[in-house]
Amino acid sequence: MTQSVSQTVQRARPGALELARMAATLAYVVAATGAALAALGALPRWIAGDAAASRRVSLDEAERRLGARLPLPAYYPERLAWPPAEIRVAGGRQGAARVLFAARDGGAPLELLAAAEPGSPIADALLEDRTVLSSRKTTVGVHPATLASVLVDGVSWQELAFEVDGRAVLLRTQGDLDELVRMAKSLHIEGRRR
Amino acid sequence: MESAKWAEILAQAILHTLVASLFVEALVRSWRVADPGQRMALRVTALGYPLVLFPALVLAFPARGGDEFRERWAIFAGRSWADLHFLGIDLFTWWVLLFAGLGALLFLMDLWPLVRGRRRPRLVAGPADGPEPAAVAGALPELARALDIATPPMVFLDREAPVLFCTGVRRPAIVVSRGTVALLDPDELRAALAHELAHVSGRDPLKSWIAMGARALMCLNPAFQVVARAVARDAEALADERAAAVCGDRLALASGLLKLHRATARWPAVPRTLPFAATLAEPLARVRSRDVELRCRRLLDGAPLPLPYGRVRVLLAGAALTALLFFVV
Repeated sequence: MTQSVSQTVQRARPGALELARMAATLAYVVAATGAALAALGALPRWIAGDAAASRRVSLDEAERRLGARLPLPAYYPERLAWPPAEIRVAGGRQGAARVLFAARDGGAPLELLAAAEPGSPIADALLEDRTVLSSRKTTVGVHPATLASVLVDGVSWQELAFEVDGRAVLLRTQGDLDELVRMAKSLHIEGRRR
Repeated sequence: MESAKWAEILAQAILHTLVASLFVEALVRSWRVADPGQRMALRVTALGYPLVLFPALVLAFPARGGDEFRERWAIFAGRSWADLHFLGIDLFTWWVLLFAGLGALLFLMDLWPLVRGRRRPRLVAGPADGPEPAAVAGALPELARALDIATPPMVFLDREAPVLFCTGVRRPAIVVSRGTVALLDPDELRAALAHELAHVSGRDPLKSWIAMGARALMCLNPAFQVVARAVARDAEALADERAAAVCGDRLALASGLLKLHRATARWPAVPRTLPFAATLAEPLARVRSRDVELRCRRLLDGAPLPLPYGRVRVLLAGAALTALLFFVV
């Protein structure tokens, strides 16, 4: 009986105080839930190490993460599908991106790797385990370039390395070299093909 | 591609229900909600989230599914776990499979007794003459009047095993056996009958089938299954409170409940016709004992006082949850 009376007294607190307690408890639970969710959301990035690993993203998201526009080719062969089949970024700001263009008919794919800033290298996480078989100096328009034959995971690629506005760019193909060179010449930073 | 989209929606529904149920449980404990009706209202909010609000969010805000929202605005993105791998499969897929499997297991644990009960011979009413049926028939009308319902028909079973439950959606009935009347003293019998009539008054048989339908719909959602069970327990507690208020003897109800629980453990299970009954039946005997213990403790502790601003609390909890889960993808 005594407990019941004290409970009644407790519950008969002034309305404003009760409302304040209710709101404070609610705010506390919302904040705790939000913090727990944010911690759980950040955990995989923390475990994987955002600086080293590459992440699969959209084109917009890649540019947002890198803080820079990606160079894209003005010449885009019909055989390649748009949008890109896969985009990966590594290193966040001052990092790099790898864009995979798949062929519509399942033919030879093409890859574009680009650093976000002049002077920054292309992250190793994006270059993958590649072996240079041979290389020679060449030009892309007026820019000096290196054309190399490389093995990536046992698959042979033709690779053209050069700079666009001071940023390191690498274009790879398993197909036609002329197509690769034409695309390399048409690479530009501003504007985008949609 | 389409299946990946559905897998994403399933994952989000599971995740949202999990967050909603934990959030609501935290509120139930922080606010010290003792009234079973208020507890049930808050928990139903968590149950309603995957059924109503989550589909509404998916349809009304498709941009939430995009990369930009996920990376820029979301406080938690389940997909971010896809960056980690275990045994060649990403962790996002692992946890979707794990949670979906757990949900299916919890659902089947309650479905199985129901299906098994259906395969047993149906209950056959015995002769309703003699002192035992008369004792029940005499108590029912007065209790029904107190609960403001029509007196439901009684199905009397001429068997020694104690049986007492309500059944029927459109035409509810009280099923009681000779063993129950013999086991309980008149006050306990009156209190136990009042409990079953409180279920009838609250249309719990209908609600239990609706809950079972929702559980079937959400059969891969473990949090939904767990919260649905908690709501079923709240329905029992609510019926206890209404019965105690009607018969005015909390001790008799607790004592009757305990006697029936102890006695039913000695007898083979009786086929039940309601999912709620199946929920609290055979497979989790220990959990059931714990539930009965808690119900008895609550009855002995005295009537719980409802918190002020009960509806405001439910509304605020729902609004806060919606705002929070908008940013969980």
